[in-house]
Amino acid sequence: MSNKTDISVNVNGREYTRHVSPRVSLADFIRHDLGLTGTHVGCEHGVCGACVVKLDGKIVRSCLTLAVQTDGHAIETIEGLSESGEISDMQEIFHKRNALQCGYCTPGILLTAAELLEKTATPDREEIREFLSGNLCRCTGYEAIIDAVEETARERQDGK
Amino acid sequence: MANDTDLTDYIGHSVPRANTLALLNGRGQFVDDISLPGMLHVCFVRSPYSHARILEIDKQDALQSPGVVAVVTGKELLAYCEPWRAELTHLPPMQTALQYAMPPERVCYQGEPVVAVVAESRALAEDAAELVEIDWEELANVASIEEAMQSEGPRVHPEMDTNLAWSMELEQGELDKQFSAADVIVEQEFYVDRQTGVTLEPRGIIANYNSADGQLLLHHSTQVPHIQRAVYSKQLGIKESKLRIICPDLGGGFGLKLHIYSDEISTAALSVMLNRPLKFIADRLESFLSDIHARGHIVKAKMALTEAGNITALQLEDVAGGGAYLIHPRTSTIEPLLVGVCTPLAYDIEHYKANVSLVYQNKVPTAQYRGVGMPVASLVMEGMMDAAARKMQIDKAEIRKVNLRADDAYPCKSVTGETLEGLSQHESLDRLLEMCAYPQLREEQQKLREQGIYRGIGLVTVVEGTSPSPALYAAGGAPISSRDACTLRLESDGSIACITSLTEQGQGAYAIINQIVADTIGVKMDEVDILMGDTKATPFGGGTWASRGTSIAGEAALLSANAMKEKILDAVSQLADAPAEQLYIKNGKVIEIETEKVVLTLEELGRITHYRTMEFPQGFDPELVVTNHYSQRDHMMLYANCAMCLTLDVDINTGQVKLDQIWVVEDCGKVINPMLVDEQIRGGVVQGIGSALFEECIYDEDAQLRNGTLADYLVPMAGEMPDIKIAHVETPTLVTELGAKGCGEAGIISICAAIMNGINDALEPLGDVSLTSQPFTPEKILKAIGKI
Amino acid sequence: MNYVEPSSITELMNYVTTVEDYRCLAGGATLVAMMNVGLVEPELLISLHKLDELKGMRIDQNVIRIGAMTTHTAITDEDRLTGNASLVRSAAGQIAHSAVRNMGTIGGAISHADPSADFPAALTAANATIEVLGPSGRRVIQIDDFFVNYLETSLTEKEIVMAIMVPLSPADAIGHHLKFSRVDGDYATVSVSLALAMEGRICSYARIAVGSVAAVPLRLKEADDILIGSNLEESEIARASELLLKSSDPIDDVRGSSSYRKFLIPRLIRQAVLQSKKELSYT
Repeated sequence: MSNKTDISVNVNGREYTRHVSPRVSLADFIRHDLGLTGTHVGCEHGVCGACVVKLDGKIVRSCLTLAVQTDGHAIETIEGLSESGEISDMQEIFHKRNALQCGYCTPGILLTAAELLEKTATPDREEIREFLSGNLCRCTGYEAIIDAVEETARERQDGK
Repeated sequence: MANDTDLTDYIGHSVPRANTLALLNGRGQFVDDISLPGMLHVCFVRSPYSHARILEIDKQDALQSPGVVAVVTGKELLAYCEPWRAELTHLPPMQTALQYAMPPERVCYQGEPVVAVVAESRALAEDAAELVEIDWEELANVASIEEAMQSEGPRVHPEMDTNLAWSMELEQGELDKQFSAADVIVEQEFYVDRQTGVTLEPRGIIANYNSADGQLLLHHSTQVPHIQRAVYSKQLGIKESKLRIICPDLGGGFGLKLHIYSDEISTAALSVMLNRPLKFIADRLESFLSDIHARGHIVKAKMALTEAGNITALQLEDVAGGGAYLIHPRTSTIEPLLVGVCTPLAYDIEHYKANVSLVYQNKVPTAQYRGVGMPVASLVMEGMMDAAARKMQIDKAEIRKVNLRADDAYPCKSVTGETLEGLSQHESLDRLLEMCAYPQLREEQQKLREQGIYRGIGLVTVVEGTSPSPALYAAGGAPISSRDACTLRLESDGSIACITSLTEQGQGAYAIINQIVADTIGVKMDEVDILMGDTKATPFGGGTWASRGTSIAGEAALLSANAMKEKILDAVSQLADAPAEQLYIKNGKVIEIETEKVVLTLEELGRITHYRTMEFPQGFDPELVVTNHYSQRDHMMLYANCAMCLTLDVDINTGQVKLDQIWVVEDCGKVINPMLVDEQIRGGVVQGIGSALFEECIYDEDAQLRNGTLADYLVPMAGEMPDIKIAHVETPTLVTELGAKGCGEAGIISICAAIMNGINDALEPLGDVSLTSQPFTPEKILKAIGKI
Repeated sequence: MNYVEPSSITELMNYVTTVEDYRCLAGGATLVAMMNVGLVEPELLISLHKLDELKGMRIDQNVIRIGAMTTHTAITDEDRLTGNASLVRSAAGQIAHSAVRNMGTIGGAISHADPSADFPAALTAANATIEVLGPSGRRVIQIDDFFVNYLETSLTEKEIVMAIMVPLSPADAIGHHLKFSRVDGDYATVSVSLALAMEGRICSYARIAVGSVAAVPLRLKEADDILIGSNLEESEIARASELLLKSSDPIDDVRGSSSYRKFLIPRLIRQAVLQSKKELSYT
């Protein structure tokens, strides 16, 4: 029987205090305790990337993170990034380019691509492919996603 | 185009999909995102053995585990779910085994669910599941296809004399005579390993039974709610009218989510038993063990040709591995069936014989997964073509040109009796060869060879089946509809409510219907709102499979949209006292053709129709609701064609294959949305790259799966995939007004053959390598060239 | 299962010496994955992430001390990993993908001791030493003595990894971590980790470790000695490869059969050496 502990975690700019079992993954905590279901679970072995969220500003696999590890830390999910508008340009381009089909991988992909563009303002296609090669998409074959990330980078540069 | 001001010409344009906006913001709703009050969770104890008798189940400790509500065995669940036999009576007879929600006595594959644990959370259910103790008696198992074929040896089902589930023979012409007279004979044996589908969203279901009114509500990640309803109704003994299935957003289907699964139907039965909402979501490890698998073929082929390279005869024998049961309700026979029927379609072959069969194995059942036998058919046919080209030293494009039917040969019948119409194989091939600059590719290959680089060119010309008629399944008794329907309503604000039996799996179902309805009526796309995936609300239909959505549900939508347009004009003509023939609709306004004057807007019509009917003349009752069904009944399938060329490099120091470029020319009839068609092709190509290079279910001699995790079973990721160039030829089908055929499987049907051909082409300087065992792994390549 | 987050070494040692069934949680990339599939179910989970002593990187007398809790991303981004130590940076950047590198730690990775992972081979070739701490105090273990068997280190019960010390010298050495995998980000089918320095056309320093071909990273001083002092011609490379190949004992698994791995070993060693040689000739 697990002893639950209290955690205080900042999610998408809001403080949450919850009483959680140490066994609960961050993915399950976000989805079921906090009701933020935009983060998805695809494998629970850290391979598919559907569960990617930001922890203290860096992307992590939320299926491989325990909720208790995030006490005192800050999480951002797709809902937060959407509301803040910081990836609205990328979302718009994804929409136009049809860089998603079923949408299950999409939140993980958007968060990963967002980190790429923070690190490298104008990545080439190979760099985009490499950075996204930890995100499984079974529907698109990736090309539309690469196109959309490339275009987002280009538009951000042009906008400067 | 459609972006300009008033224009609503959407058909034929690359319009973005309205229903991706929520998904982009993380506001989609997949089945695991749904929570119902009082909902419990199910987890299954699954057989660790591939074949075993259940001697005793001790659930006492599990029942005491915290949070547990019930622990239920197969025997106990029998009262709530009848067992079934999958069968199609219009095909040669099948030996079909009885299949249970959970078997009461004997398990037939590793992973088969035997005990269900219901608890307050999945974690608590899993804790309890570990405490269930089962006494097993291991039985002799049948692992490989070769083992299954042995006349003496273990049986998957002891009541059967053999492990042969089904076989069929097709024969046309005089094979022996042709082979005796042949100038050249080519023989190859192809091996296609078993694989799985891997939908990123695993399977899931929420079942909610209410004993107060006997209603069962399912939230089900399925592509085919009406089929599920028919089967669940029958097996659970609940009237269809009391069984409602809602399809949440679906995170990938590819055919996996068409079938009846033990764990899913058990969950529904348990909900009836316990009178509580229950959720079951397969985790990834369970998915590998319990999702349907696919492929698994051994094909021997022999072909006769003239000196000039004309094929005179083709003969093949296919033994496909079927798993422990025939999947319900489609049966697992369709893979070998389509190998038999479709292999010779691309070429004008007069003499043909095929013996196809399906054997039982103590493994998860195989069933329809994207392509369904046709990727294997292409592998065989296109592999034979290249083998002949290598043997006869004929160019690989030339040998195809010699054998493709002329573009004006249609309609015509294939040697297997299939009607082919609207194909453009020569035009497509010519376009392809131009697109990839084929002669220059060969020149470059030569130069690279001189530098010791093994560049290969893989070329295929393929015919693929889409849009089946009832002849494929329903004719054999399966509750699978080949019809789809569309209901349209004019709403009070002038918008169009559209309800369709088509379902979305990300391929663009919503968008296609949206485009067709909006364009045909003459309104903006965002004036059309579409409801899908609810058996209580939508008209009855087949759902999404076999590349049939656009062609069939799209046709129904077109019929309804045309009918709605007529009704609108008729109603307006009553109000405006102007003949309907003198009116047309543009951007939601009804306009007089001659004067270009706006007579009435749809918004006004909506208001009048719903609130102020007194404005209509006496005796006229506006009925602005239409429903149309469409069923393609002309041919067993609508066949489309695809030509593909690729370049790749084989590193003979490591065996690795690096894909360089891929070109595709596809003719799927009228293209409603070029971007969506291209993306379907790309997605299918990449899935097929997985099949060709990486994906295989590795079993040991005891039929235990050795690589059932995403770390071990490789699926294509972004890093290794090339960009894919696509062009279209559009030869509308004669069968429908819309003119569209299907395209969703073209990519996967072509790419495996193209990769195999590319590899063998690359290695040709080292001798006629003929690697024909898929997946084409580095080790197999090194073995084929004698390096290890 | 219970969870604690000690904020001092003393507190950590207290748990470690009083509880039987515990596991230390570093980044979680491996441990949580194992918990998710039910391979590991400790009664007490001790998170190390509040221990400052395990964090950070600093240089002391030509050796860079990398705290056990340093993430792979931090190592990938660390410009001070030069010379011999650049090998560690090269390996870190090839581990899995960004989201995993942001979580995974070098201490966690080597404690797990998977010979198919990237750090074990790279640290072996980089001649690292490992500082460990237990109830009986601190000690230093030379890398060649650290990995004992598949998933087994020479840590005694109750010891944890504190830091990894990597020599920066030879300063003119380059580090080359050649990871051959089925696809990008996968575990290596075979990896070759090499620290190499040349003086003119003579090899002045070489240390090779081969990963995924034995229960621990494969390194032979005799193989290094063949290369050191030579011109790194094909014959020397072949002889060194032959020695390593003879000592290898690869398994059959989903990534490759034993015979495939044996086929790859000399070819990948040759590739790594020639590539490094070429790189050095440009510096």
